Amino acid sequence: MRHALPVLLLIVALASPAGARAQSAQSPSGGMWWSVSAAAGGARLSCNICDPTRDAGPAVEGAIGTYASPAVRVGVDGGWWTFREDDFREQVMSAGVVAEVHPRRGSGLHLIGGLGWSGYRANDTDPAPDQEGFSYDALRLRLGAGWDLPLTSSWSVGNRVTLDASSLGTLKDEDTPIARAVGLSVVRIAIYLRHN
Amino acid sequence: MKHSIARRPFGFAATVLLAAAACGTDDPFFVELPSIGDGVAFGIWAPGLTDTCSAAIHNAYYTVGPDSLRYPTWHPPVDPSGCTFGHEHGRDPSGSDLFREVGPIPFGYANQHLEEGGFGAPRNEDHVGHKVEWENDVAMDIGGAGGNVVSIECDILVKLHQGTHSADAFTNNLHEVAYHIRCSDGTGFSATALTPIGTAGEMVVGCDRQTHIDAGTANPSISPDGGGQRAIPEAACMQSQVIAPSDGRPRFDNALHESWEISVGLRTANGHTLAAFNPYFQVRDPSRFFDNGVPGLARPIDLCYLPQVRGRDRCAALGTDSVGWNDPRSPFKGTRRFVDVNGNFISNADGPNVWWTDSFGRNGRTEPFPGAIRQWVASRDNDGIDLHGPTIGRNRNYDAPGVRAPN
Repeated sequence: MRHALPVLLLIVALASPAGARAQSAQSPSGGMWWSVSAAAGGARLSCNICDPTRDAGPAVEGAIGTYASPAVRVGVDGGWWTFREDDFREQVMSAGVVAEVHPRRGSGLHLIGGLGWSGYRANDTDPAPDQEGFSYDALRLRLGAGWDLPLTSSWSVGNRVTLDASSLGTLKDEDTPIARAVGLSVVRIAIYLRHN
Repeated sequence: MKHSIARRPFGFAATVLLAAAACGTDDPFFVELPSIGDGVAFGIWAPGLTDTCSAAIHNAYYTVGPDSLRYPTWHPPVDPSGCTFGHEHGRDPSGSDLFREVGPIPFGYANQHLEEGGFGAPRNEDHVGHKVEWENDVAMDIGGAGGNVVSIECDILVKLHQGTHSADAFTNNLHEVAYHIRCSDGTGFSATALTPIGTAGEMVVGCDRQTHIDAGTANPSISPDGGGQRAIPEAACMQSQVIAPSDGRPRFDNALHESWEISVGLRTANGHTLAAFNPYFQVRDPSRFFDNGVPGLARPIDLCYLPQVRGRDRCAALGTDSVGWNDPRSPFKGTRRFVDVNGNFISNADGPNVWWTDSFGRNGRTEPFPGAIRQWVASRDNDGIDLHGPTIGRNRNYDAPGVRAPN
């Protein structure tokens, strides 16, 4: 987590403009929305032989969808997280469907839930031609919460915290299973820009 | 019973069965058996010179092997009664987390069954050369970048017959190894074998590990060649690093560094490798070195009496005294040892735990046969992981009251 703190402070600074008025992002049902986000994230595999260290690194995400109701956004999302140490890189790719619900009218607070896929890859930065490294794929459950801050009637920024949790995947090294019932968790603290 | 620490299979059955149940296996490595006789290795030690323990006291330290024969096993260099044996077998295995599962290590079990398994000559080794080393919760090195992803710990308990006091290892490459490992990823095996280390009749110069020397004829002469090598100190090493070093400073540790680099595999009758390991067993202070120009054995202690060496480096503690090669005061007793664990491979995902091999670890079958050695291999493959161990025991010195060469 040694890279996380400065990134976190930056996110908090960017996402907390003084005096900003929170609001819900309610738009007419059926309208489109999209968002991009930058995040600091920490990822960790969980199994009997997995390194317990939660490695921290940058992440980006994108999402697009529609309004199911004035208080509910639904859509699809995709993201990428990475961590590099010396000549070794870890990556987590994710994709799925997402829903963001504003439980209180007029509040920027929204809850996030999603379902999808997470894929973990780890390898040398300059691998040999036939070197596949470590891999892991599993279903992903996403939970989180965020806070919208309006910029204009159609743009908003915000910050959010999400947890992607996967379990019951198989960790492979060079395509050979080395651990089963493996979990993967990715925590992201993000700022985002959304167009409604 | 004052010697019960090592001599008895004492109540192991219950604990082993419990451990086996916890591990989900029905086939524990160690099972308590009644004794039906003595192995060749049992009872061969006799006190000499400064040793104050009797053979009877020594023989009270035994264990019963998988063949129901009695074998000598680890004992402390000083008996609880206070008498001394004059030799040591390394680290007390009862402190290993594996001890309850694998039990006392029988010294000479693989040697015992060599001929019975069809080999055309016996190979028996002396008693004092059996050396035990172990470490619990060893953080393993994973090959490539794997250390960033997985973290594996192993309990390791090893024994090698590594005689560094005689000419035996100059030519003889067959030495008994017992190797027990259990890891957090499920890798685990208990292997005992009479393993050929390098080429029979040939040794490698210890201080360069490259120059091969034809040291004579191996005993037995039909000893097969094996992987690895026996890097043993030689006269040129002593000349360049002790007698006439370029900077005038003698360095016995460099000159005497001895490394037995073994490569062992348990193989089935059809050639499939069930388990493989290649530790390096290293000694800093052997009590002899190879010198074709010296009648009998060349002894490093004799170099302490050269004018340019006297009182320096490892000879410092002697002062102006002159002691024999087999005196407990000699600094060259083979007590400073360590083991590079190195690679550990297992391929037995669909196999049973208990395998029977010949003394060389070959011809593995699921049922015992004449001359067979009992092996244990976890039902697992670890070919996706390059599982390497670090050095264990580097800073240990097994010197103790009364210990002397031959040790």
